[in-house]
Amino acid sequence: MKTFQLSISPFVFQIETDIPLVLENAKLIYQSGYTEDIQESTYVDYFLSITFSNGLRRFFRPQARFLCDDREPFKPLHANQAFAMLEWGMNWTVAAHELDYAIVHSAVLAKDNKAILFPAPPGSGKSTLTAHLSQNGWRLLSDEMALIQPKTNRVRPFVRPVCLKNSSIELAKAWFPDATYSSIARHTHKGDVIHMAAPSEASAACDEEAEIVGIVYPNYKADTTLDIYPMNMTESFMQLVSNSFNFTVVGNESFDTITQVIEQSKHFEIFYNDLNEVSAFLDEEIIHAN
Amino acid sequence: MVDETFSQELELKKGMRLHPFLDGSGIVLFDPTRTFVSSLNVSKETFFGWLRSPDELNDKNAELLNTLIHQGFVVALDHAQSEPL
Repeated sequence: MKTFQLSISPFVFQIETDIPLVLENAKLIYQSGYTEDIQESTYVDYFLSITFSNGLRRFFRPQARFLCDDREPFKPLHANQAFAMLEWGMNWTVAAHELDYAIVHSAVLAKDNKAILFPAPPGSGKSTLTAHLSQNGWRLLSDEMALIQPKTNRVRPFVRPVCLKNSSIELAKAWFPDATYSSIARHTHKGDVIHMAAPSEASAACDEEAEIVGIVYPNYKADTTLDIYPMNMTESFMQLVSNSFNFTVVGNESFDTITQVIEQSKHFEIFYNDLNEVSAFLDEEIIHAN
Repeated sequence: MVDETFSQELELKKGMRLHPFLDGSGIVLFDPTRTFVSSLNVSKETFFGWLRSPDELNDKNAELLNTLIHQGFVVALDHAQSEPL
């Protein structure tokens, strides 16, 4: 059994594992954020484990189990999906426990320290869009969750790899051959899955908050030009709340935070298939708009 | 079907929060105890007009107000305890 820590600002995770695939991928993807040199003085936010199931399962179709303290939020998965399971487990851990931020299920990218949130359900192309923007002049703050400072419109980076699925995997590898990728987790409930490491500039800026200036609800459509629909604040508020992980727990503070974010942002729903068009639109209409 | 409480003035239940958006697109109501939200695409002034004269609403708006009553945001005005808004 090995123990390592991942320092992913603003959190430190301490993880136990006996699965070589987890160690290899964690080192590869997190690089300087990964350490096996455990210092007692380091404050650990979350203690996790991802280990082989016991008994015969260790040898016959081996499975991986994820635990956060003594809680097991997911059913065991095939061991070849263990690193993806750790990533999903870290997402679950933060979403289920963190009360210091208003947390929204959303990608976050920034330019000139102005951030845009991309709340979206699976299948909207959010992660492909995130991967593309993060490699083309936009700073990645998160692929999965916006950590919004309470009663402000400022978002804290939580720089993690981008989770790509199915046909997006080959697309990303062709577009960004120099990026770092995890091994493929095949046949997960989301299909084949790979994690693309965050660009080093994004990791280096992991403590630089950005001001939220836009909220864009993306929808990928293969046969469309860029269609843009401005949204009003009331519609956008209801959508953002429905994408919030901890609204029902944090309550009043979350309500104040989200109303403030809504009032200081522009709001759009977009239908797209050309990522460069989306980037140009975001630049002109949100980042550099007066 | 219109609720019986529509025969009298209504008010926002104590403790409920209301936020009108700057773009005038509508208001959101928040119940901090149940952490439940609801929205209406009307201004704050229009909404309070509905509460003062619920019997004058058309069917569509009466149904919206009825929903807020059932969600626990709006109650019959208690004159003994009412305070200026």
